[in-house]
Amino acid sequence: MGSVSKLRTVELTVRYGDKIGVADVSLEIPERQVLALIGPSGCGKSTFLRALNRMNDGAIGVEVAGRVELDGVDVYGGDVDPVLVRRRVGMVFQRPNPFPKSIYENVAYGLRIGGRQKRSVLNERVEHALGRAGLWDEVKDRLHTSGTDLSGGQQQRLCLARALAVEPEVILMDEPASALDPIATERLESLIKELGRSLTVVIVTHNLGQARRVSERTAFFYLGKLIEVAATSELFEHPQQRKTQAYLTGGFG
Amino acid sequence: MSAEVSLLPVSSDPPHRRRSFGEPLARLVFTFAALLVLLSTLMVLGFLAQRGLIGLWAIGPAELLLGADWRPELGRFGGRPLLFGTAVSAALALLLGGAPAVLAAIYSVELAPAPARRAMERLMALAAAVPSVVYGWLALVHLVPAAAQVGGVLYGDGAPGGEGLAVSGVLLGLMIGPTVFLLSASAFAKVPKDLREASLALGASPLHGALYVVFPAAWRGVVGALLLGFARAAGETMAVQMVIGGARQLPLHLFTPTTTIATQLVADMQNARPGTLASDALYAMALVLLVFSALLVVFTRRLLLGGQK
Repeated sequence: MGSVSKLRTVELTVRYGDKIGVADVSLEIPERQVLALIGPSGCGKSTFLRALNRMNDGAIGVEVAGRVELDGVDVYGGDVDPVLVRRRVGMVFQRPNPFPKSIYENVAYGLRIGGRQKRSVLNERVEHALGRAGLWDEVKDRLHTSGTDLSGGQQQRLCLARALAVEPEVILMDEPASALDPIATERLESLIKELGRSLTVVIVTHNLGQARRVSERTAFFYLGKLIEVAATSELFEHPQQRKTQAYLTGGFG
Repeated sequence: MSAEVSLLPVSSDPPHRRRSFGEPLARLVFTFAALLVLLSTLMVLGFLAQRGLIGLWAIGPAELLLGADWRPELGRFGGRPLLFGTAVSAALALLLGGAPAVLAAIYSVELAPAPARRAMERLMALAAAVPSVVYGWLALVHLVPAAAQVGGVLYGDGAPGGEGLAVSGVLLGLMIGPTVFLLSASAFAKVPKDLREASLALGASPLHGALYVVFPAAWRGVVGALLLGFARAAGETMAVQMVIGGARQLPLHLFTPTTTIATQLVADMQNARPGTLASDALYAMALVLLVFSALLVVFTRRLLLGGQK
C-alpha cells in the first residue's frame, strides 16, 4: 500500500441517454496491485471498468464526464488517441473471445498492429506471453491449431496471453471467470495474483470469494456510486458503510 | 376431484381443441402446394434436359461450347461468342459492382455510424428491387452514349455505337451491387461483437479489426455473395439485351457489339420452330447456362456449409 496511483478517476460520470451508469466516482488505483470491483448486477462496475480504457467510445448515446488519469494524463483529453490508451490498458472479457485464428495468430494479433515484425521477435514474444498466461506448456506443440478448439479455461488464458503480448501497463478484467468451471477458475485466479506483482489489475467480479482471494484492494459499487473502497481484508472484515455490510452478508444482490 | 386424466377430447374442452375438418383440409392444401412446386420444377428441368440433350447430341459438345460461328439459319451452332460474352460481362460485373459492394458493406457495418448504415441498407434493398428493364433502359439512354465517346477516344471509328461488353459490365455491376452488398453486410453483421471488442481492446483501430478479424471470420459469406452475384449477372437477359448490341461474334474489344447466352436465346427464339435443330440448339444452350449456374450454387453451398463442422 501507499504506492503511486497508476490510474485515478476524478468525478467520473457515465450516462447512457438519460440513465446514469456511473455517478461521480473518484477512485485511486495503485500501481502493481489487484483492485477488485464488487457490487450487485447493474451497479455500474462494468461500465466503470469500460470507461477506464475508453471501450465505450463508439457506443451511441454514451457520455462520459469527469477525468480518468493514466499516469496523471487524462485519457479523455482532447488530443489523446483512444487506440493508444487501449494499447497501454488491456482488457479481458467475460466470455472467452479468441479470434477464429490459430493460437499463435491470436497472441501475435496485437503485436502485428504496429506493422511488420521479425519472425524471431514475434516467436519470442508469443512464447513469453503464453508463458505468463500459464498456457505455453499446454499449447506449445499445437500453436498453429485454432484457438477456438481449446477448452473454455484455456481460451480465457489465451485471451489473457493475447492481452499481455502487447505489454500493457494495466489489465482490466470483466468477470473473467464467470464462464469457467471451478478448476479453470482457480488457475485463472492464481495467474491474476501473479500478474498483480508486475502490473496493475482491475477485476470486476460477482464472486466475493474471488475478490477476497485475488485482490489487495476492493471497491464496492452500488447504484452507480462508489460506496466504499479499502484494503480487501479491511473491507470484508470491517466494512464501514451499512450498504457494504448488507451486501457482504447477502442482504441484496 | 376425479383422478381420471384422459388425453382424448371431452365435451367440456373448448371447441377448437376438438378434431374438425379444418386440420385435415389444411394439411391437404399444404401438401398439394408442395407437390405443385416440386412437379412444376421437375417439368421445367425435364423439358429443358430432354430437348437440350437432343440438341447437344446433334451438334456435339465441342462445337456447341467452342465453335466460333453461331448462325442457326445456316445450321452453325458455335457457342463460343455466347459463352465468352456471358463470362466476360459477368466477370466485369463482379469487378465493377461486386468488389466495391463488398468494400461498401465493410464500411457500412464496421465503420459507419448506425443511422448511415440503416440508410444504406434501405437504399440497397430498394435498389435490389428495381426491375431489370428499368436498369437496362437507363443504361441504354445514359451509358451507351457515354461508352460511345469513350470507345471513340480509345479505338476511333472501331466503336461506333458504344454497345458491347463495357456497358454490359457496368450495367450488370450496378444490378448485382445491391444484392452483393446486402448479403455481405449480413455476413459481416453475423460476426460476434465480442471479437470486435477484443480487437479494439488490443489497441487496434476499427478499420484494422474490420480487415483482420471481421473479414476473415466472414469470408465464406462474402464469397457466397459474390458467387450469387456472378450467377445473377450471367443469367440476366432483358437489361443486357438492350445494351450489348446483339452481334453474333466474338468482340474485338469491350466497345464492340457482341452477345451472351441469355440474350441470344431471346433473339433466336422467334425463328426457332419447335422440333427443329435450331430450337434444340437453344435448349442446349439454355441447359449449359443452367448447369453453369447450378454448379455455382452447389459450389457456394459447399463453401458456406464447409465451415460448420
